[in-house]
Amino acid sequence: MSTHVIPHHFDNAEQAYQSSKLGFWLFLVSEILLFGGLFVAYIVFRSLYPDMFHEASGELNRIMGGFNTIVLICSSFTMAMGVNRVQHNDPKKAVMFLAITIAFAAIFMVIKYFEYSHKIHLGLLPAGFYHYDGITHPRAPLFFSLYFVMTGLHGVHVLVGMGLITWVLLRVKRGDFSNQYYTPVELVGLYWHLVDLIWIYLFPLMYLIG
Amino acid sequence: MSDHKHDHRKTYLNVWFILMALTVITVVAASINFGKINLFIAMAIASVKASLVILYFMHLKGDATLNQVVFLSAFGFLAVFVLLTLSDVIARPPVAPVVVTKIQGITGNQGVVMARLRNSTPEQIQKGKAIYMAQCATCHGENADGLGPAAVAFNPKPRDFKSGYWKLGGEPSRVYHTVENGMPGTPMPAFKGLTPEDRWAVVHFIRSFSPNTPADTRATLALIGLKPDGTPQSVSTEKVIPELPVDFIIEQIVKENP
Ligand code: HEC
Repeated sequence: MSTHVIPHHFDNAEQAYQSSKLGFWLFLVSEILLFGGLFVAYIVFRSLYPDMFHEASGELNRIMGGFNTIVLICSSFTMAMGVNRVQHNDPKKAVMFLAITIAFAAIFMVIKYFEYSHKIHLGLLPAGFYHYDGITHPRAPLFFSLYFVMTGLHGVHVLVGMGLITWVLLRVKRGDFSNQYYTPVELVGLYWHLVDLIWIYLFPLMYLIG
Repeated sequence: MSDHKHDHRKTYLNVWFILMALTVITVVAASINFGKINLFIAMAIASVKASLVILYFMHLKGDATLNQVVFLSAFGFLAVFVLLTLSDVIARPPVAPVVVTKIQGITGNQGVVMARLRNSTPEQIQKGKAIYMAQCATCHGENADGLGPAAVAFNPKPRDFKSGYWKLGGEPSRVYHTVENGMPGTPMPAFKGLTPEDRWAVVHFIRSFSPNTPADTRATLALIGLKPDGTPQSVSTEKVIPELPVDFIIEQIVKENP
């Protein structure tokens, strides 16, 4: 088990930990505002074309969306458990929970893949790429622009999260962490919960209109 | 490494269970139609779920006060973002009426009608004469010499259609456009109340005895939304329609396809 060296510009481990955490919370704020811009676009267009959103949302698959919501909630739970196990010097269980979290993330992406390919097949695409005639409202492409950009950006976050969790998993395996030092694991955990958080709003806003 | 000494596993399990239950509730609630409050219910449940994730999974509860303030400030900024943007959206005048007038010259079917009516027929001239006598003769005169009873009062004087003089132009589509829109700044009114059929009829009537009747040009055809060869514009100009509410379009389609 390697011991972590506190960077010299910190007085002690506690200070280093608190600084990292504050920095990470700030990063999460910027993430929320990044998605916030898209949510504002969503709110504006939905207030302009409520009927269109209603109609277009019907093309999304509630079962797949709902299943993915459950998958992400479970992954958030296993992530929290993984962090908890690292904090309690239980790397074996921690590795297991982190691996399950990655598996959930992968399931999420596979389902997204099926959803996307179905939409692409039908021509339910953003803006000018849209070519589907099952929806009568002429503004429907707008909904799919929002759908693809918002769930797409979220999907990119899931992929990044999978990479980060894999990274901390390998470090846990290597014995880098203990109840004295686990900052990276905890921060990756925070990131993962944020990804879940955003989906908690995306799901009803995209799939469950009306 | 202060507050992670005690075990949170039990809490995690409870939170997980509540989150799952709330997800089921959201889906069920969404399938029942409560009208406008559906959105409100969905957002309320999502916010409860989000709070649980933030407080327990992310441990914001029990975190340093600074971190709490920082993270919650994100939602404050978001609220500013949403409210300022919405205040702009709400303050804007509705778009629909502006486009309604545009739609009249150019929808697919109407374009076809226009292209057909453009060619003069004896029946049209016949019909146009009746309309002229009712609508135009007071100014332009029963003999179309510009000497109607009301003409004395006007400056410039109403056109003498027997003179062959046109200020704007004598092409059919140009005259049509003049009748539809009038001549701003002169007493010549806009006859928007006439149907396209009636307008064309009166145009063909006037031109039937004018000594100067130039043919349509590219530019005059474009004025009334027709292509250079006199055929109706296809889909491209119909792009304007998306500004309109669905029910209006449906109404319009029904009207055009009796
Ligand atoms: C209130 C009086 C008035 C009435 C009613 C009226 N006009 Fe005119 N119209 C005028 C006047 C005045 C002018 C001349 C304007 C000018 O020379 O600038 C004119 C000009 C015109 C022109 C000449 C355009 C050009 O390029 O020179 C046309 C065509 C015309 N009117 C058609 C009609 C038709 C068709 C009707 C009936 C549906 C009608 N007007 C009814 C007052 C009237």
